[in-house]
Amino acid sequence: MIKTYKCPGCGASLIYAGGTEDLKCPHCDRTVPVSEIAEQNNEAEVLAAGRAEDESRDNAGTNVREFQCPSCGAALVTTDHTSATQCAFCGAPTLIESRLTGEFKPGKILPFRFDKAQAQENFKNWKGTGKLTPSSFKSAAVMDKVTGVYVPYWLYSYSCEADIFAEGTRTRIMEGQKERVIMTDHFNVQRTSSAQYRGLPYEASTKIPEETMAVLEPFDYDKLTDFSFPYLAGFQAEKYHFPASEMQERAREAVRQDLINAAVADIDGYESVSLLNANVRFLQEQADYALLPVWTLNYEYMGKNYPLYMNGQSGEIDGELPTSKFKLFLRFAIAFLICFGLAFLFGRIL
Amino acid sequence: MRRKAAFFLLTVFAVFMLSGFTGTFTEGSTNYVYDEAHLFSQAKIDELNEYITSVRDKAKSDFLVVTTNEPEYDDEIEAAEAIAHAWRDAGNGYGKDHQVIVFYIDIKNRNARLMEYNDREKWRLSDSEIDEINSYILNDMVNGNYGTAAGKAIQGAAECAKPGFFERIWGWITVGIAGGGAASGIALGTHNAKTTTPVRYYMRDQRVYTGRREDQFTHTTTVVQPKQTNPPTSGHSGGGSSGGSISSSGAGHSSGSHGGSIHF
Repeated sequence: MIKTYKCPGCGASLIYAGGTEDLKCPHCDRTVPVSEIAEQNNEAEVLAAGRAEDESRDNAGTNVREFQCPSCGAALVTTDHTSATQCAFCGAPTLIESRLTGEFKPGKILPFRFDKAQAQENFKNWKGTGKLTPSSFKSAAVMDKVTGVYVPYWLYSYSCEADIFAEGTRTRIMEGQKERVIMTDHFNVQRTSSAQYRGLPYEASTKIPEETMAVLEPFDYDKLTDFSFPYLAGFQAEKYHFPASEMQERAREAVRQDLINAAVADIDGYESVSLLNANVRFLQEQADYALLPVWTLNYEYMGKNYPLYMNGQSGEIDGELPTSKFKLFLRFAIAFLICFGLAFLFGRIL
Repeated sequence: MRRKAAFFLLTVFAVFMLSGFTGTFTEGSTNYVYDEAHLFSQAKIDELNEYITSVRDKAKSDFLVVTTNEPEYDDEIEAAEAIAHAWRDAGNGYGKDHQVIVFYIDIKNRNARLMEYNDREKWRLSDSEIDEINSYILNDMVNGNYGTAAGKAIQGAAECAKPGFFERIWGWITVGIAGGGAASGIALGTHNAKTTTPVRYYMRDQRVYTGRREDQFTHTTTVVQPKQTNPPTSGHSGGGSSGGSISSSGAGHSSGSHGGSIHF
């Protein structure tokens, strides 16, 4: 089922206004609460439509699907995982709701905290845009490419316990007339330590490079809210590629290592502590499916693409910008002339 | 005061006395060897002239070899200075500083002096280099190989007089490239350090709660180290220098010139 939310005033497509609980009409500025639109959604109806879509999908083996834009009727081409996008012809924010229902329905969503204009400003003022960044980066044409994407995530929470077996040592030194006696007391040290981890995030799609997402984290989970479709209006969204079980072991291993390190570090009263053995038990575990907000900007320079990403909550940015060869040369030339002149003067003074 | 007046009068007198000699210097002279004492063969004179002509541009300095057996001065320092001044007053000397290096031999008094002159007292030869050259040619001077000594003195001076790193255009260019490269490198290298969020961030209160603690003593290991007795402190003698000095006079400085003499 393809859907756009229409403004009750002028009929234009509504988009979610970042940092608020409203959808806003970009034409007449009318706002509609998210909760009001969410109430109109009938999930059973959406599910049924989704099944019908699945049955009618082509057997060509491609992961490209074609829909009809509900605003202008143009063909809307998406991948199998796309669940919210914009029409390439009329720009209408379009939701493919069936993609985010049933098992793919996110439990939580972290709405964007600021709108596109603010995201554009953040990109322009990013400290990574040094003096060597091409001037075209801040142009309107480039900034218009800023796109908000909800990235599917598994948030793992654990309650776990670790039995730590270690050897601790304490040293005493006795000074004699002719010799020094160093006595080291050895102890078997056992500890049972527990800890809780909340919302360890693992990206469930291949949309954004994993290492980039690691830089963009953390997200403010206090702002997590129950998933509702209207938050997606005006943004792109994907359903997960990897099920929770696929990322589970990596999350567990990360937690296991961290808990052991923290428990060993917590052993006090010894000059040295050597870990001998450790058993970690996971008492409770939970995986929440959530959509987290990321602003993306694909900057093309000299035929090469430079993707940039911004945490839609904190504004943290990651990515690499190209270097303007002209600006680099200019900087070199200025420094060259200054140093050349100084060396010349220095030589004359000598 | 008396000393200064005496020095002034002496200088005026010296210039006056030397006026006859300076007449041999002509503007734009390409003759750099004035062998009044006839110590050199004509071939040696030609060789020296040829050599000086070939190195003066590289060294950015004129070189003069002057010998005499009838000195106007008993003091080779004043004589060499007067020669340098006369060379400069005749419009010679390299560049606008009238840079010249003079090797003067007073065969009557068996004195020789290697001396440098320029208008700005911007020396190309250091005192130690002059001393080194003097000690290098001392044996030749003592043995009467004056031509060889003069050749070695001029060659050594030419080597040492080559403009320093900061006086050559390649030096300036090198510094410029290094500066430009550093500025560009710094600009390129100022990428933001990327920090990732550690797993600990997601641990509640960022700490573990330890419920069970069991510590059991197992054993003690003992290491006995004999104490080192310190040897008696040995007195250090001061770093005195050894060896004798060559029979050369100290490098004397005066207005516009400096150099060093040898007595052979």
